[in-house]
Amino acid sequence: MIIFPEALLEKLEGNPMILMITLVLFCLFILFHTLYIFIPLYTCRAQKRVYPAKETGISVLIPAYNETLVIENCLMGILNADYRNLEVLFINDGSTDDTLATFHKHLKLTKTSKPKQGVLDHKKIKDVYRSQKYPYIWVIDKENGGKADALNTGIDFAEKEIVITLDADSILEPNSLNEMNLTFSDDSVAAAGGLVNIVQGFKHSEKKWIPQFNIPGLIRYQVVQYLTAFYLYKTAQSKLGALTVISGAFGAFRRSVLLQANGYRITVGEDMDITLRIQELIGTTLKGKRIIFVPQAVCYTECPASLKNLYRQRIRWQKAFVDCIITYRKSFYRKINFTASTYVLLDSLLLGTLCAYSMLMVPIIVLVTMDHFQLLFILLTISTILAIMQDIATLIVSRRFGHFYSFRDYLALILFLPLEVLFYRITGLFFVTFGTILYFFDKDGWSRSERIGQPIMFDTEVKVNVRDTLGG
Amino acid sequence: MSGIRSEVKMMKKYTLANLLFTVTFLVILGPLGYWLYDYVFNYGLAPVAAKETLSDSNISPLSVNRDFSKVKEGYADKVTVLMYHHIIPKDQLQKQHFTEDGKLVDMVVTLEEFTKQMNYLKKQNYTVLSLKEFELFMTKQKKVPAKSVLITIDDGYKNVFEFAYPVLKKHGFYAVHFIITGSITDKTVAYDSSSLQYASIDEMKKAADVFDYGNHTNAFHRRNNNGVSYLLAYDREKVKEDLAKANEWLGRSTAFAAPYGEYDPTTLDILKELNIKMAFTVEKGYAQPSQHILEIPRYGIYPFYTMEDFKKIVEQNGDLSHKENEQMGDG
Repeated sequence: MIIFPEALLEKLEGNPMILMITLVLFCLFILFHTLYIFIPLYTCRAQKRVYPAKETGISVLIPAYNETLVIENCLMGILNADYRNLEVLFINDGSTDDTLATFHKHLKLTKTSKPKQGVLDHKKIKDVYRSQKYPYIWVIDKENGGKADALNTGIDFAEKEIVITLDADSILEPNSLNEMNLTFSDDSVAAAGGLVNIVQGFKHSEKKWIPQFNIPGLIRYQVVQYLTAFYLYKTAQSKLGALTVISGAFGAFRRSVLLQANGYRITVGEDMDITLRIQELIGTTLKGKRIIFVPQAVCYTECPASLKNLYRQRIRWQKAFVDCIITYRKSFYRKINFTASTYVLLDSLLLGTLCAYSMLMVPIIVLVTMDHFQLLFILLTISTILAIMQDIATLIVSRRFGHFYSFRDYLALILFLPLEVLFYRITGLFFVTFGTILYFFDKDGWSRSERIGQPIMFDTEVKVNVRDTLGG
Repeated sequence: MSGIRSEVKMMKKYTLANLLFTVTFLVILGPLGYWLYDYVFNYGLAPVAAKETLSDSNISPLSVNRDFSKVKEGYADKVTVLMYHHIIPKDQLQKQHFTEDGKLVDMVVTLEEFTKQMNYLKKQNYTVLSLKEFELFMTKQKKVPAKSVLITIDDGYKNVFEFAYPVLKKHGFYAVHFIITGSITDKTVAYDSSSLQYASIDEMKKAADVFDYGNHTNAFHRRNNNGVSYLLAYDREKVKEDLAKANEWLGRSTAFAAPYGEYDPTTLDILKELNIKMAFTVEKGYAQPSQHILEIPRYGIYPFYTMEDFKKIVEQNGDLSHKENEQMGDG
């Protein structure tokens, strides 16, 4: 008998299936990312913004849990906001550190009471304070219940038509509230997301924020990632009506819509959750309303400075994402519109999460089978070059919104891009993969990343106090 | 006014930047996209079975029938039938062409060895018969020179068309190529040593001046999960249907070879019913007109044969079974 290498036949007959799946996913990936480049590129232009004379009332809600290190920065942003028809509610969510004392120090708080609607459930209120120095600022001291609970408390107390939610480390740009006011002068806008920049990526002197790139690699990566995520991805999603996350760092909602949504669900991914909930409403009772992204409304927030903290943050994000997908699994294509559902399921879930495994698997498969080396090379080359082109598009688009770097920084950026694509993005894949796996094993472990609390100094009254506090 | 003017200026700047970016994007990613497309369609995708059949193309079987009446050397009473599968140049051999202990698998003969063997046949004035001539010899209608061989190749691999065909053509040799008709592809693609490629219909047509095509089943060149050849595993009707389909595809029913050389009496009955004139086995031996014409023996040429071994086979002296038992694992 002759030995016929059947294994050879079978191996090659089995392969095309895996190959076809890989290629289909890859083409989808290319399609999405090409859209992310060209939609913003051809639709974004700097316009002269004329703010409406009428200031619609804005309630700003800031949940704070053990935020001593950063809350002053946030407060400074609030004090600098160029807006009159405003109330600011800090919700102290049972902090165990000096957060409440910090409020006392800067705001001259007195105990008072504030009418509330009592439509949303939340943990028990301890006290309500009002600032004597800035009468539009309130501090609500309550028992710890998590961020979603704190936001629900805020909504219950809020009196104005527009509700803006910030993180305790978000620093508003002075004109950001005017931008949101302008945005909401369009009645079809139900909710809007602002643009979030990374504090560490800026030099700040006087009242100016100047982008700079002379920063550690890990932060460089996040700066580029945020710029791409906001200027390209969110812009494109907004144009397509597919925005599915309004960042918790800077979101704006009509209060009536938040109430119709029954406030926030108690979960850690509360920002994606509320956005999907509003998308559901738009698909059912709020037909014709929109969720949009406003790149002109800017805030600044800290990003993790160490790999460990970045890991914690990203694992939390990924767990929150998986949680939302599971919660809303029945709403896609039914209550939530076609583009938003497609975006979440194809781009975020299939390409972003499930493909993360396959992307990590591809090199392994190739090494094991010793086959299709050339294909691997082609795919890697295309995705690398596409990523670099995307980063360049980010720089072009962000420039149109006044995000200028110096010549030296641009040079550093260009040199950084290949490293970003080849090293940091792979790291990102690992985060996504681990986060998804960890979700199913450890649902409740929402470890939070540590705040840094780099003092941001402006030429305001608070400045002196901040210096006193931090010994700067 | 100036506001509008500056806005127009800005728009121009944007349009220029967008255009520049778009062109750069297309210039860089266009060729890359084409490269991917080319790779996928040449190597990646499962080849599509030929839409056209050989019988559609009106290519008639080789009708070479030479006059051997003036041969001085005398006539053969038996003819050596050689059997090959893959012919691949040494430098194109891949991991899958070797067994675990580093020997070439039995089905592969390097192009270098094959060329040497053909050169030898040429130099020694061997007559390489056409299928027609061999058929006439087997049916006692024709005498062939004493030094005659019939070359057969199984399966229809692309490498045979790529590498063996030019050598055979150069020497004016003929060969019988047993084709698994269902695996012949629609498109001719570039040769890729890392994958198992079957020939395309166009390649078959082009090589019809050297190759005569035989039936090697349509899609039954497989084993089931228990390792039984489809020819034996399936019932009579199914097997007959498959072989008839291959005949129809080829537009002829001259010769047949059973996959893996495995067949049973039922198979022979089917061959008779399908009016197949000759069938070849993988049993060693020399072809004689007295034999059963549906069980013609063949000498497989294996990579571990030296030139001396090859000479012994074609000279019809010497028993190499000892060597084979040693070399082939399950003997």
